This record gives sequence, C-alpha cells and structure tokens, in this order.
Amino acid sequence: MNLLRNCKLQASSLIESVMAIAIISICISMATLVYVKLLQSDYEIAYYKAKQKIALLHLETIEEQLFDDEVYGFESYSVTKQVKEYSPGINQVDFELKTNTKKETIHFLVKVTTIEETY
Amino acid sequence: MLKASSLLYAIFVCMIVSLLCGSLVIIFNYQYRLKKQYFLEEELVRASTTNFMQVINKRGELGAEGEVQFNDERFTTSYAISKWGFYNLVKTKTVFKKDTLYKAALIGGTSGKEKIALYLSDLDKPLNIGGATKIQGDVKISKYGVRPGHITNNNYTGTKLVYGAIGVSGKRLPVLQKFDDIASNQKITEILLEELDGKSLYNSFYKPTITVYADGAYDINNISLSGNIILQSKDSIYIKNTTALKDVLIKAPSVVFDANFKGVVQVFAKENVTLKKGAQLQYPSSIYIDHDSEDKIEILLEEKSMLAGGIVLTGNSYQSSLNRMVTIDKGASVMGDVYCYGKTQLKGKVIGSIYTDRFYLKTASSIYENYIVGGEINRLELPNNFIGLPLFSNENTNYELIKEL
Repeated sequence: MNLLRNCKLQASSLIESVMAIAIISICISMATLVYVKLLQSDYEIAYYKAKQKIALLHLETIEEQLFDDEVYGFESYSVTKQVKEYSPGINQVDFELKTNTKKETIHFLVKVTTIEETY
Repeated sequence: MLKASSLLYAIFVCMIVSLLCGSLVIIFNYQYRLKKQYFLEEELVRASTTNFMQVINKRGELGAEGEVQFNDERFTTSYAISKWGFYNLVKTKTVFKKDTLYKAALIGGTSGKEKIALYLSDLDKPLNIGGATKIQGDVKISKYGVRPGHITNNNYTGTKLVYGAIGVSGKRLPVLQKFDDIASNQKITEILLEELDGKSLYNSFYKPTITVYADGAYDINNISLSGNIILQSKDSIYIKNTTALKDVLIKAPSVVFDANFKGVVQVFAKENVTLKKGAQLQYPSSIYIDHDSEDKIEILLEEKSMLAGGIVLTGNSYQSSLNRMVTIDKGASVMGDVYCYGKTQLKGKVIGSIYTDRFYLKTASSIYENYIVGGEINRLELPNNFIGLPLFSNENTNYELIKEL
C-alpha cells in the first residue's frame, strides 16, 4: 500500500473514478463468473437425492425380491432400473440415474432367494 | 489537476476480490476432491460387496485362492478360502489406488435336501413319546412307528403324535462328511496361557493363527480371546464365566462351560463337553466329538443352557456308540442340528433337526430306551435362512454369509 501511495500519478478525479469503477466492475464480473462456474461443476442436490433413492430401491429389491425393469421419474431426476441374470441364483441390477447435468449407472448384484413352502 | 487516489483503491479492491476468488477456488477444489474420494470409497465398498457375493456364490467352483472382477475392471478382489471349524472362512482384499478394503467372513452351506425334524435309526424298536412331548416337522423313524408311551404320571398329552409326515429310516444314520481340517491356516503362532496373564487378545483373520496353550491350567478365567485364535489343551479345561471368548476354536479332551458363561466358540473335544446351568453358546457355535472309547462320552446341556449352531457326537464303532450320549436337560435348548451316533436324552427343546441312533430316558426309578418325555423338536420354528452345520456332503450346496468377522 505504501509502495502504491509513493507512486504519485497525476490524474483528474473524474477520469480516475471512471477507470476505478471499470476495473472493479471487470473484477467483480470475473469473480461472479468463477463462482457460477464452480457451482455448475459441483454435484447438484438432485444427484444426491437420486443416489439416496437408488440406495433405497436397492434395499427394496433385496427385501422384496423385485426383479422387474422400472423407470422412476421425479421432478429433478429420474432413475431407470434394469435387471438381468448374472449367474444362477444371482441377478445383476443396474440403476441409471439422470439429472440435468449428470448421468451415471450403478451396478449391483442381488441374490435371488427362493421362498420356501411352510407346513 | 487534483491529486486523487480512486485508482489506488480500485487496485486494492481488485486485490481483495482476487484473494477471495482464489480462496473460493481452493476451498471448492478441496471440497470437490473430498467428494470424489467419498464417492470412490463408496464404489470400493460396493465393488467389494459385489465381488464377495460372487466368491460366495461360486464357492463350489472356486479354488482356495484367486481373483474375481465385476463389470468395472478397476476393482479386482483377491480372495482366499480356508476352514475355520465347521465353516468356510472367506478373506477378500479389494484394492483401488491407495485404498484397500479387507473383508473376512464365515460362510456356510444350505442344501436343498429334505428338511426333517427327526431321523431315528431303524433298530427295530418303536419311538415312544410321553408327557408334553411335541414333534413338529417330518420324521424318519423305524418301521414300528411312533407310539404314546406309558410312564407313570407321564402319559402323552398331545393330540397328534407327530405334527408332520412320518417316513421310514435306514439301519444307520446318514453318513457324515469328514471334519479333519478345522483350521487350514498354515502359519501358526504359539503362546502360553500364562503369558496372557488376564489380558485381552484379539487376532485378525489376516494374521497367522494364534494357538494359546492351556496345558496344566484347569481353570480358564479372566481372559478375553477373540478372532483367529485356537485355545488348546491336552487336559480338561473349565471355562469360567469371567472368560470372554468370541469366534475362537477350543481343542481339548474335555471342556466344561461355567454357569452363565456366554460366548461364541466351536468346541472340538474327545471325551465330554458340559454346559452348566444358564451357559449360552451363541451363534455360530458348535460342539464336535469324534471318538471311540469304552468310557462314557457325553455332551451335556444342563438346565436353561443354550447352544445355537449344532452338535455332532460321532465315532466309528457301533460298540462305543452305546457309550456316547447327548443330554439336553429340561429348559435347555439347541438351535440347529443335533447329530448323535449314540443315545440322545431329550428333555429340553431342539429348534432344528435331530439325527440319532436311539433315544434314552433315565428317571429316578428306571431307564427307558427310545423314549422321549417332555422334549420338543420343532423344525418349523427354525428360520429358513438359518445356516446350520454342513453335516452331509452335497454337490448342490448354496453358500450363505454367516457373519462378518
């Protein structure tokens, strides 16, 4: 600051003020740009919601042995469930999540349990 | 011309804004990397679980060691399968970059074979039941069938003799598979019980097995053993209820568990095993005796004791089978299978199956053969996903997870 203070410039206060406002505007607009870019590249809330939903659907698949293909549509994301046989007694369950900016597939293996007859 | 310093302040403001922006970018970058790391760890856990399931499912086809992969080739899981008592021990290791995930678990087999409540060898004698005896589930007994027994004050009180189908058994019990190799970990570290001196000892299943020798020490008390440990003695041992045992194997000729003892153990004995009043061997526990002797060999579960897992009492000769006996006292219970090549005295409850040569009942006044009075066998109460002892070799065995270690 002292260094800047010692550097004496002759200037008209009006032109100087205009220049200062211009510099600050450019600086702030660049900062805003950086901030927006950062926000965009982050994981959106819908992505976390979709992940939670997939965890829930996975548990539901195991517990209730639901092996049908399904599409689950929500306001900000969608989840597509696809089931295929992986090996005898094991099914591969794929969940594809789609948000506005991201698309990802998560694979699971689920054991097929046979419900035994009771007496 | 007037001196002014607006430009100076503008540059200063610019510097502050750029510092803020810079720190924002750095914070964001670290946060982003943290999230990436978290998602990667999540993927690693998922890959480990998935590959572990593959190992269990292909257990029959897989060798003792190897590698498995799922869709994503980034995650390779190496596995090793060995024996831990009655069960298979699966150890897996999933690696991705600097992260490694270990998982060790006991697995057991469930076969699609017939599930019966009772298999009683056909020794040309009927099965007599009296008192409040209850047999629920299918049975295989001698061709002479089942009859209500007539013992003083203990006539049969039920409405049906067997709540299930009755079939005819063979002259001998179904052949057991061999359980020679109870801990196939080659590397073993040996220590003496005195060295522990009342301390706790935990040993991971990824390390060599520790054998704790308790020779000459009759009472085992005030110690805690957990994990990959074998407690071994050449003499009889009395395990006090101040001892904590979890997932360990016990090898001794005779083992007595003190009243109200609680633990998870697999016992491999030669002569006798006794569970005193209120002792609890929790799942997956078991008792195994394979011995021929002219002396009495007995597994005794006293009043209110409990065992979840299974009991096997066997040997080679028929003559010594007359000296072998499993006694389940009144109020005692077993969850799982009881296999006895000898006599079974059932006064308590078995949730599962009994395979025995003959039943035995000793009262104050007399001894009765092939009598059950007041005992209960309930195969229907056993949960469908219960994994019992792998008694019989079967090619169509499905392996399931028993517990993670």
